[in-house]
Amino acid sequence: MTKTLETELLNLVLAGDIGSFGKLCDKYYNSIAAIAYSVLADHQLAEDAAQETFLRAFKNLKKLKSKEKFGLWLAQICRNVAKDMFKKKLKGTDTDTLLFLSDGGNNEHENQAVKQAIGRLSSCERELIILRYYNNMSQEQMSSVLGLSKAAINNRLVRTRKKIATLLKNNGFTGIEL
Amino acid sequence: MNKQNNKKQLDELISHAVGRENLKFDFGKWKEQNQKEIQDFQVEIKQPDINNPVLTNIWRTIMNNRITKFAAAAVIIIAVMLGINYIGGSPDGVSVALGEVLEKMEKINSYTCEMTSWQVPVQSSSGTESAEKKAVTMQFRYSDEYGFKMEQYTDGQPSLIVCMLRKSNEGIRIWPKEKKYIRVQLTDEERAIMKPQEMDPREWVRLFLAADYKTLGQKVIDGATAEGVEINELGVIRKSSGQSPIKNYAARLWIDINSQLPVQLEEEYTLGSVHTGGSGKHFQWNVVLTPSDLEPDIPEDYTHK
Repeated sequence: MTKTLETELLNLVLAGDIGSFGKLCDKYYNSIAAIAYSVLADHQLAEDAAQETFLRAFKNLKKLKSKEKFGLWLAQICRNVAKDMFKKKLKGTDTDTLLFLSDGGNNEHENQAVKQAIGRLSSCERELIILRYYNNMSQEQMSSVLGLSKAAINNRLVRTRKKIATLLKNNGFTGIEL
Repeated sequence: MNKQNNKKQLDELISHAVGRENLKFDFGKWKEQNQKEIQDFQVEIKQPDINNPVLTNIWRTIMNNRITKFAAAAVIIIAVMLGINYIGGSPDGVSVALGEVLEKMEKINSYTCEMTSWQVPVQSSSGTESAEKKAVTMQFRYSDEYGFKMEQYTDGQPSLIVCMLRKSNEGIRIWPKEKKYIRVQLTDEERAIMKPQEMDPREWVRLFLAADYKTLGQKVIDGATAEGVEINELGVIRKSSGQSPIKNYAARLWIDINSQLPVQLEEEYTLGSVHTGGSGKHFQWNVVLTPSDLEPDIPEDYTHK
């Protein structure tokens, strides 16, 4: 979906065509759920957060000034929604890392080690990694919610992968060196 | 283990740990859960905003899209029809009729009609120099389910055929005079553009409902008594751009007072030294169309462009 088409869909929504909002939701659902998951580390909560994000966006659509930045705007709403949800669940804890440092519901040693490594990343790094691996997202899709060029995303991904590999190695994980 | 294998292994580990496949958004469920918010939104936006160039943007999108370049004539039709229907009502008697029309239109899923677009030099637009008038006629068949077919005639002879087939996801354009044709697969984006929302006749009436208009009284069209509304304001359907502002703008919707369905659509305006316009007429709503009604018949001696 091009930016132009996206803008047209937004115009149609503002003209009363609710179905066009569905198309925009389809486009961004994976990205938004991934961003929420990078905060919540819970798939069900992340999907709830994505639904709430779309609702908040829908209710405030008239306030969106730059339609070409819809993806970035949506992503920021999602970060706020996810953090609100997390705070409600765990008052007073570090919303950035707690769940990723825990088991996260999966008992496999490898998964736990990887999740722990991801939990030690900065929130930006974690979001980048989750976006990339949540649903095999393309750099173009990532670009639409991060506002970064594909080259910048690629560079950051390379750096963050190396960091994860180092964290895994320090955690006794063998066989991966980038 | 080499670097590439390490990267692949790490990719797999991360995907396995945090990946989520087959994630789909259930928009129907979302709408159900948020009915009140959607209703509030619709009430809020019902306030006419004539500066919102919805149609102009649809037009621009269509014109920028490959499908449009492929099927320019068909898109012109769509744009003309969309444009004409972006006219809408004010709180008098006719707006009630338009509301009823909209209700009727909700049940429309196919139609056929004839469309004409024409151009005439300004100096003869009000005179009798009809010989200078250039007109193109198009027969149009549309189905939510199967797509559409447009046959364009110039001087009574078929000059262009454009088909968009939803089931096979194909676009076909045929030039009978040249005995040439093109057949392409549509991309997701092109398919999205061609979805009913953008061509939905219901949208036309909604647009009429969203603007100020004047009533035109009644006249008989094709034997049916019809009531008309007209807008003359730019910015609702079209807006001036570039160095040649649009003048003398008028768009009209005629509704059969018995069937409560549109019977004729018209749009005309002056751009530079040319007076131009288009109309849609002879509508048949909810006509039964089969896939074969929309598929092209390409003679064997035609060659692919």
